[in-house]
Amino acid sequence: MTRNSVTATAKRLVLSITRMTIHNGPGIRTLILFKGCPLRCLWCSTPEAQKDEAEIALYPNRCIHCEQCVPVCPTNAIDLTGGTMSVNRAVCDNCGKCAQVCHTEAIKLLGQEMTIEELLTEVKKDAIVYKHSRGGVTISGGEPLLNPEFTQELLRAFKKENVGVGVDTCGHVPWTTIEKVLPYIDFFLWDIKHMNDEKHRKFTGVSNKFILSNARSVSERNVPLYIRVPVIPGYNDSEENIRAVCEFARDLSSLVNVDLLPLHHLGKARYNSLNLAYPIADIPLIPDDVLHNIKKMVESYQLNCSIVG
Amino acid sequence: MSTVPSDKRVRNAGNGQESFTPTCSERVQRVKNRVLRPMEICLERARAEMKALEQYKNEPGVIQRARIFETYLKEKTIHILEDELIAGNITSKIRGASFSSEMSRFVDEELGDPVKDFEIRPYDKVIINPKERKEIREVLIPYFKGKTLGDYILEIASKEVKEKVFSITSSCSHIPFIADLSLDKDIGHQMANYEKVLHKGLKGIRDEVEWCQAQLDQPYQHFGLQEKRDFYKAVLITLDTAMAYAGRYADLAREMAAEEADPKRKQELEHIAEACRRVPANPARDWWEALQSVWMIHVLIHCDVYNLANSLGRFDQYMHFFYKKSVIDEKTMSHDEALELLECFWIKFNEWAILLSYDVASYQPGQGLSQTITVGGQTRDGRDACNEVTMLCLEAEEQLGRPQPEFAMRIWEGTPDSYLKKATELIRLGWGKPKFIGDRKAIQMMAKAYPDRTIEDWRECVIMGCSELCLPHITMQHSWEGVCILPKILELALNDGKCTLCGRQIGPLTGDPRDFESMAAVKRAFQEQVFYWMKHMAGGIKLVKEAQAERMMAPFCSSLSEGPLQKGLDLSRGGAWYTSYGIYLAGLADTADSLAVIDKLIYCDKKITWDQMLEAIKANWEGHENLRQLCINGVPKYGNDDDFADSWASWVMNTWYDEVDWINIRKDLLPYYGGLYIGAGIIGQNNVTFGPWPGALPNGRIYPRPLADCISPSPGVDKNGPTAVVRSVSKLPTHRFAMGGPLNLRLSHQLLATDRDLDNFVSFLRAIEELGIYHTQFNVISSEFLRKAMKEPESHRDLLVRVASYCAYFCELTEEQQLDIINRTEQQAW
Repeated sequence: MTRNSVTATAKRLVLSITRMTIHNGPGIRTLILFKGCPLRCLWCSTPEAQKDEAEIALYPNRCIHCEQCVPVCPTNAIDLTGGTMSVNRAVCDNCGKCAQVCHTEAIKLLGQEMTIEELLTEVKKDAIVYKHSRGGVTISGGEPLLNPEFTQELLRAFKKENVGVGVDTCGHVPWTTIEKVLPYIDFFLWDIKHMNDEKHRKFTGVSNKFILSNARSVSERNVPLYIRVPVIPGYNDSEENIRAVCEFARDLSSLVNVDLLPLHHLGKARYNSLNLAYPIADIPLIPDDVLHNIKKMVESYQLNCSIVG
Repeated sequence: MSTVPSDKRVRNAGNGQESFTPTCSERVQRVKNRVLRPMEICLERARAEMKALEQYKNEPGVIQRARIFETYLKEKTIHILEDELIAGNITSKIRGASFSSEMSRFVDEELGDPVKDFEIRPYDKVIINPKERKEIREVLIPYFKGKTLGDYILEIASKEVKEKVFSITSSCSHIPFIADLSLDKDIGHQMANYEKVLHKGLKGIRDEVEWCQAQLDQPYQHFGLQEKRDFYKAVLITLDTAMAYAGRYADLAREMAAEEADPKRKQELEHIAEACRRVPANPARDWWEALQSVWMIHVLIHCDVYNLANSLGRFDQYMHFFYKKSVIDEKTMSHDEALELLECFWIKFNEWAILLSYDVASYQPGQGLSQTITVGGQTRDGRDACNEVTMLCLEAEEQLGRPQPEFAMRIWEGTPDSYLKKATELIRLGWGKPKFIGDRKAIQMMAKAYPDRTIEDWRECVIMGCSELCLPHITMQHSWEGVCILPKILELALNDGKCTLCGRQIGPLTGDPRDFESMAAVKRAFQEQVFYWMKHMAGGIKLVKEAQAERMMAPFCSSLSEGPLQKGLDLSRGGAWYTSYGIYLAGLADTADSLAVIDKLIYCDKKITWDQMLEAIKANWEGHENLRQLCINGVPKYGNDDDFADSWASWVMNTWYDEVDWINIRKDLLPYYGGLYIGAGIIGQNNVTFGPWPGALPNGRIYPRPLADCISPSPGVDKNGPTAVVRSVSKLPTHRFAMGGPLNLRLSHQLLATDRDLDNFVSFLRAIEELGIYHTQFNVISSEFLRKAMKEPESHRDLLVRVASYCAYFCELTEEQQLDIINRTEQQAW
């Protein structure tokens, strides 16, 4: 591997590595979630991937009150009195010492620093499965393209081992970053949350300008694109917005598919484990028939469309 | 052995079966429903035994056995039921279990017992009416008392064998190695040379016997002549009996045809009469006759021996000749007609069961049978073997979905996608069928079991019973002879040979673990225990097999195998070209994980001491939950593609198998007529049964929870998904386990929802084969199962469900979410 010593020791925070996923691009794929995301979508279902730093997550129902964690905490943030486990997040510095002594995994430190070599070893384990299913690895997060040098070296390493690479991105990264990694990418899963810039800012915290222009540029370079639209009732499921997405997608020459990702509330437990409030807890799920109508609408633009979820 | 996947019983709601609409004919639908009735007892076999044993008291044993067969088949009730196209009933009942003399020992104990009685027990119930009860009590049991194989063995067995390896007589009820599994049984498993019957007929085989018989008069023949003469005479009696028996069906069908008003049924009955008149005595001429011939032979085998896993071999290979003739070349039959006949044949495997004792039935609930049909794989010359009959079998199974026959599909790199995809559609129905056999590993195993054969022969391997691999009809495979409960061995190694449950010193003194300075000392103690117990077990098996050779001759089955006729020697006495004895290993994962815990926590990390560990185990982990959690979560476990944990599983397997190889070299521990011990991973539901054998284990297992099944990881510890599990298994020396060992994988049926999912599943199967996994079976999960997982999260932590665009472990979700997924599951239709 042609790497300088800097990248050989470079690490990035990994939230999880899941093997044998089947909904993150073609075939059977290993999914790597990196920590850190520039967006703060209200409906985010992976809140533990938002911050680019390790943080502790709590699962109080697993706690057996062995009290091993209390004395090791340097900031005295853990409270086990009253029969429940709680952590004073204001003083907790996420050092993870409590997680080390928690054998029941009631406290877990989320985010593990991994080198390219370590990631490659994990990914290569399922090489035979990729070969037969035409699968590979999909990097996601968080935002996988946050660290340009690291990402470039990582994807180059995957490519060298003949592992197919998919990137699940929010698209809100500088074009120069994307340009660097383009040669190593087989396809993008590209999230489009809203076509209206103002609403996009309101729901995700950032403008959609880069997201849309980057998608166009990727398409011009002929890298296959899956446009992914989270369908959140009352936020982005209006006919106007869906039609705008379709019109945008229609002009992308490398578009493979439009994936509709209906809202689910399964991330709620994750918010709880981080002691965060789930911003959209009260929105009802989208009914199947409504979703199918959206699908039909997308298909009326001569676009391939599937419901993922 | 039955390979009921452990979750099969809760499979119904919310999975593919609900939305699958069968397209089979109304006839098949009726026949299919007819077998859903309680099992009833049939006493005809025992009556015939009694009569023949009286009448032929002074004849040599093998002739007596032939006469029992003759007496039974002459008088046995025969019937051709409404809608049937293939004739032949094993018992007198529509769905029956035969009572034979060998069962009288346990029936005597269990009949009328408030818990164990056959009508009361919670599984595998058998109806016995008051009149039959009276006959069993007053006539049959008194007659057979003291005369059965079990009585004989217990009479001649040494005190040591009875104490060390016979579970029914040992003073410790948790002995690690058990050798009395065949106490009440005939020899088995075996596979007849169906192809030979189809092409030569029983008449052709009869000619062969007469030729062999004539050879005995040659001047160079000197030894064992009387034994051989008796054997050939017995074989001839059974062959004549068999042909006459088929003739009885021909007569019956003719009579029924004469009285039948419906012209269509009349014609069918006439056809049955014609087929039964012709086969199996003569070569079959078409698809119908071939099916009739195979079925009748199957019936006859079970009238000769009482065993549960007499299998059908490479059915698609030997039947294709007849399918091609009838459907493709001569066009005397359509594909649909051929399929209906096959379905009528297929369903008949469910018409009978083996009467098992309360305990043995608990090892293998599901009426104990394992009549396996093997399809697919490669031909002798290494080409793909799938053909029209392979697909026809898959179609029949899809329509029927009954427990029997067991259905195994061999796969290799050349298996076409279309066949794999069809098989995948069956998997989606949630019956765990077919089970997949990877040729790559199977052929390596064949090389271990049959080193003197060639690759062409190895490619002919079949599944005999549950997972047991062998070469058909040249092997007498005594598959189910011994069980080694390895976690118990570990317990003995950690307790200086004492059983922790009853406190008896049952094993050798291998030292107090507190004195073990390193992991090497632990390994040594384990090895010593294995060595000691293997030796005893082999001694026990040798005794049982030699006793069977004295009394359980099988002249009819011998005539259908290769070797006995040429040697003039019954199958039970080593007549087949190859004889093997299966010994099974239980609790591989529990043992491996426990050793990994000891290695890491006590020796490598020095986190805990032996005192702590021994105290916790002694207390069955009560009051030591924190330590238990450390043992569970703080040490890698087998099944996660972790080299440290997986290497312990390899070590355990190799250590045990080294002893098996050693026993095979020491010929004095084999039955006098030779053969080979062959090992396998445990099968059936024994993992549950043997749960109460060992006490608490260092891997955190609480007594008496089930052990890990087969060669699968411990329940709930595999957290990296199915590909990690198969990678872990691929690291094991499974080629040494030449008799087999299944891997059970549980999948959410959501993973098989769309057409694309099916394609991915096909790829997964191909990857499994390439990784060298021998036998894999899939449980596709129902919502009932998910509800159970909600109640018992700890043992279901490996349960993977699709949440949205990603998959998650079911038990890590909140209750609300779990219910959400269950609801979604039930709504999903395909």
